[in-house]
Amino acid sequence: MKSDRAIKDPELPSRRMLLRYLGAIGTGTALGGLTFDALASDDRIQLPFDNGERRLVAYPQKRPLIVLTSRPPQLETPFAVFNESLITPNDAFFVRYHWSAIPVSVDPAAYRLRIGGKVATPLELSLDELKRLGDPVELVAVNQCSGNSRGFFAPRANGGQLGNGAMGNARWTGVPLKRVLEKAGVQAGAVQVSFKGLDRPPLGDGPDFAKALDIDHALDGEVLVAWAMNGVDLPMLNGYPLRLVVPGWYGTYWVKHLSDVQVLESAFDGFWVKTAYRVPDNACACVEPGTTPARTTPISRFDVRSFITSLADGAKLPAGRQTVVRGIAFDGGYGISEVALSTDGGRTWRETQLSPSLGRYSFREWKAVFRPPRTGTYELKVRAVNRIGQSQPPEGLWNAAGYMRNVVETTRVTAV
Amino acid sequence: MTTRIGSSWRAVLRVTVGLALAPAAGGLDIQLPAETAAYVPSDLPGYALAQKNCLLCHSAEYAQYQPPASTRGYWEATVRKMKKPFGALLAEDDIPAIVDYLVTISSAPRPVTPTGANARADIPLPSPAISAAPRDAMEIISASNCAICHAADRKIVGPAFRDVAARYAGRPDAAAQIASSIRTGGSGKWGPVPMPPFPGLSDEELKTLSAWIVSR
Repeated sequence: MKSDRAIKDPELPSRRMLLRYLGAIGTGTALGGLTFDALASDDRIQLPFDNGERRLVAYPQKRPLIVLTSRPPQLETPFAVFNESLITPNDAFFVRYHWSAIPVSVDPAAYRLRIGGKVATPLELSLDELKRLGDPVELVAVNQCSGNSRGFFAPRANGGQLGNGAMGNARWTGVPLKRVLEKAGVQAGAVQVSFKGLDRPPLGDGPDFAKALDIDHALDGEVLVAWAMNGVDLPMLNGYPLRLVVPGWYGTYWVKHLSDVQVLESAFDGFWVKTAYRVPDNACACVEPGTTPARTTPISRFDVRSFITSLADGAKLPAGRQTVVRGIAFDGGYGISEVALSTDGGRTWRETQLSPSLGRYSFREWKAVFRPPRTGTYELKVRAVNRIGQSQPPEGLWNAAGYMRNVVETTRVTAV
Repeated sequence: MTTRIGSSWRAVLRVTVGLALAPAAGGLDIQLPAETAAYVPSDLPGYALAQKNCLLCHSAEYAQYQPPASTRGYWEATVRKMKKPFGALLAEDDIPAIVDYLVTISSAPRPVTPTGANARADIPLPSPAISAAPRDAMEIISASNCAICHAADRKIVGPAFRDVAARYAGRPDAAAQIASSIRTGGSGKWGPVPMPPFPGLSDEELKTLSAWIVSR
């Protein structure tokens, strides 16, 4: 695993995501007989980096979310949502796909989960059969895109230009993958397990999206085949009717519309593990900007992150009076042990109060009282530490793919 | 199913009712909003090539949201990655022109706070590069790469032209509906692969093409 990602590097202060609603821009355009009044109502948002203007659009089962791409749909959660509740509502949960041929219609009665490869009994389980394999397990866990916050990289990194909203925290319900694999009977010599879903390349011979986990990880009892999210069926765009839940690991492993599980006797060598989703194979998963790492390794567990959610960049608060500052912290599952807040740009730090834990894979709420002594601007910073001592770097670390950003975040506020 | 452009921002969610013998839960069926993102118009030949090739598989934001000053090296590597291993059916000779265009759009200054007409800079008018002169249906099909996904009488990726004609047969608005689907794209009507939008076709070209399809 990655060890401490708190080190070095100069330049650019980090910035919190500033949401600026530009309001409706009405430009109904008539082009001959075809009326494009779909354009008439169009909310927009400016992510705080160059070329960060985005549309806000309500996709099926979703409230208006930030559109990163429309085909396939890739949607980011507006950051203000993370101050509404510790659990991210299903209709605000981010969406990420790779290929544009995605399921838009699923008949649960006909759905089958296939388990094959190095097993004693290959299976084709219906949803009912899967749900009867054992008592359902519930787990609160963060899912986060590998490239969450990529838009803040300095120098910029190409790829999906996301703010901080490609993450979410949900209560997942499912059956342990271990139960499913035991039912099929994993045979001696199994090394990894690969996973595929219903999404496909639209045409051509591109590599179908598939991921793999080591056999021990797949059998650890925590990885779930989940059908529910916050107590109801998964939304289609979050993987209906089944998705893999890999607690503490980046979302790339949480395969949606899960349809095929293969137990392998040699390491999986598909494009999405062998070539894509790799990070520098060193303690910080980082390199000097513009340089190439000597070796890379598949991305795996989350690093430590923390955010202020109750105050946006540029917020005003009363001087001489107490304001409760609140936010979230999370890591790859060791558990958050401490969150510190600085109100003087990082010169001094004080401990915050942690709210009760929803589990070591969940967002952890923290609170602190801030009483600005006088009017003026204040630079608030938040920094978390987990149970094995991992923390956050004061300046952003860099890698070419724009993965794993976890800088100490800064929020500038004004006391009035 | 009809394409209802007018309500497309309000995404439609329909939960179908299960048959009597099916499990209690019904199926889930969604309709994605119409795609409105489109490449920034340009006189460069790569503009038409990007519409014709890149949009077959993904929407325009992938390129247009890249950071300003994304390098030529990045774009060359990315276009090559689309060809191999991603399987784009790109002609080798077209790659330099597409790269030229992509370098241009990712270095052009953009308004931070758009107002008026500039607010829709990513919703271009029909491209002069594509629609300079009226063309017949065969020329339009060839220029727009339709035949990669559609054949006259068999399904390839998308439905046969004959099957599209059959689905809309007898409807007075058949040609207009087909024209709408071509201009804005769509999904869920013919299988999992979404139809890309073709915003660069002129009204006249759409009329020519949809009339030809109706007559299959």
